[in-house]
Amino acid sequence: MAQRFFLADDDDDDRLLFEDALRELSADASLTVATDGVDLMEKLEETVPPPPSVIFLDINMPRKNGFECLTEMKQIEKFRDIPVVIFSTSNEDSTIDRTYHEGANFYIHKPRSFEKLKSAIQQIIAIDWSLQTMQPSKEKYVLHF
Amino acid sequence: MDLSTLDFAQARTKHILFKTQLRSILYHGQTDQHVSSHTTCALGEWIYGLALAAYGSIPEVVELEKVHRDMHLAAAQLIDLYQQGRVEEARAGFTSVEIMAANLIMLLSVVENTIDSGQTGSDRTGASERLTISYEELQQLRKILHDLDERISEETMQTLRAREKAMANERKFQHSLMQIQVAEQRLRLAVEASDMGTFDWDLENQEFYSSPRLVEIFGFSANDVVTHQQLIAALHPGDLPIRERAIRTSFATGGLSYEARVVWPDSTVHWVRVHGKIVHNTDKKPLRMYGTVIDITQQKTFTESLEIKVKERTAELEKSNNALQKSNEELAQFAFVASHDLQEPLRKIQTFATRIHATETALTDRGKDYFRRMQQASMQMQQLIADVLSYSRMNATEQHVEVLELGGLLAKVQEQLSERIETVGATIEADALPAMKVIPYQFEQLLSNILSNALKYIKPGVPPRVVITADTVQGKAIDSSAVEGMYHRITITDNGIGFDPQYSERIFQVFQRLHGKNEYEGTGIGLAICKKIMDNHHGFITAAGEPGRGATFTIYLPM
Repeated sequence: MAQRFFLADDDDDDRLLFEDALRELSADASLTVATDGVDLMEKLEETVPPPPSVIFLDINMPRKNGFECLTEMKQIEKFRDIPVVIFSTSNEDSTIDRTYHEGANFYIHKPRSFEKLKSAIQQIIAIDWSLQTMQPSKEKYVLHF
Repeated sequence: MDLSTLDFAQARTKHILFKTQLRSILYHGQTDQHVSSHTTCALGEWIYGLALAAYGSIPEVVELEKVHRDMHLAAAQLIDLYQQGRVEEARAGFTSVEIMAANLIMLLSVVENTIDSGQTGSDRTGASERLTISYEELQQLRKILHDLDERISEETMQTLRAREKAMANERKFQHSLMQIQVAEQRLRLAVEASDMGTFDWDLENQEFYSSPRLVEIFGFSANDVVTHQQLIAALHPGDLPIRERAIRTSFATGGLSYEARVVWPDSTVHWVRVHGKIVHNTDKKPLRMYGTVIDITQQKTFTESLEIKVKERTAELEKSNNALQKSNEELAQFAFVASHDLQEPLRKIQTFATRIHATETALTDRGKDYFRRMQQASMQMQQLIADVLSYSRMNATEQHVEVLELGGLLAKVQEQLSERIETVGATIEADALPAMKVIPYQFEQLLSNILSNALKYIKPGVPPRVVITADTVQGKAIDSSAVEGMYHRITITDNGIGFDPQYSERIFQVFQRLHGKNEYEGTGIGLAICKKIMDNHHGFITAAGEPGRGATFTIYLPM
């Protein structure tokens, strides 16, 4: 079954690059794009169930930021188990720590090359979420690519 | 005058006149008065012209001649003395002349009686008998007179001596008085010059004298009659305890000294300084207190205004310090935000560049080279932004400090640099490193920066070797700004290209590079960050090196 991905990012360039990378990696994967946290929560509300395979979540967004979205999702039963991958420009410890404690599954520091971006997304696509139900250890939380 | 007969009454009168003349001379300085000699006066003419020849047998006549002569001579001497200016002596002698004059009058009476009763020799016997009695009486009288004379002259001498003594005393007294007056004048000058008020407090009778200047200092008019109570009442109520305490102390020590405020009738406040000294009697009982009062308002206000100025300056300094700190913080904040935000567009430039490089196969080799250079430049920029960001983060005031095993931290850094260590084939030898109280991420960065340098500035053909040692050292042996006590000392020595010692300070400044960017990559911020980290830890970092002989970085951290 084709994977369904959600991406919430207010940055137009990053959304473009992400779509390009994903298309190159998986021809049949579908991507729903939200331009901020409010947009994301509305689109989730409309489409779930069924839940998407993974939500890629930017942190710094207008109206409702990534932290708020994460907190909200963990409080709502039907969203709680959806895997969340943080996709952020920040590599600050405080941001990494906070999202880990809020229950995000992986952390991607937006890379500086398209190849690395593809490599990061590839790692996420490759995960069999039925086997990966637990949050990884802190050391493995931040993806290296 | 008829020499044969002497008018005895006239002779007496003349002699009273003689005395009067002498007195006028001695007491009134009438030197024009003529005092005749013993031979030219009326009595003298009679004595020498007739009496001695005619009545030479009468012993009183001979006596008369002698007394008369002596008297004239004495008078002449006294006039002499007087004219020499020895006035007192001359006047003292007047008494003896008076005595002689009285003697003379008496002798004259005897002679008169004798002549009257014995004009002829036949008459003499009866008269002689009468005369004998009177002669004896006379002798007795003369004896008494003589004694009297002696006593008088004795007393006169005593009087004279006493007078001389008194005069000497008087002179001494006058001299002392003069000295006192001079001293007083000097004192008054001094007191006036110093603008002091003075007081004299009779402690027994509770009488208080204050000088006009003192009264002025207390805000009254110099001519006002001001009581001690009024002066005390003029003191600032808040300072009365100061005065009381000072007075109590003065009775114990003998010296009074205090400063207090005086409130003038016009309500202005003035400062006075009071000094006093207690004079005791022989029983150590305090009799009086003398003292001075000086107006120190100007002095005080000057001191006060100085203090106010110092306070103002301190406040200003504090304000500008705060402003500086705030601006520093803002600058750090700005550096952080700017570098953070600069990263975003740069990341996209880099990403899109890789995208073009990978997909646009039509690019010429030259075009590909341009892209490679573009990517290199953007990587340099990326590093620069990262370093500026890191440098600005070192300013953060609140930091988490913990005791950390430095050995463990070194291992972590070595792990991070393992790729580079392997590439250059470096060996790193370290002593057992102590546990130190540090800000963990900062010390990690410090070690990372220093080790990265050691792995970067290597000598071609020589396997890089880094030696790390640890010991302790006295703070004062490091730097004058070091605190008392012991410091950890960690040295990191490499065998790389080293540097000219003249740059040992400069390499710790931001953007200071000793090499061209094409020789060794770097932003010139790494060691500045190290310096900042050591500042944050109240420690030091120094660098020593020689071109071609490696470099040693030493860090000191207070224990």
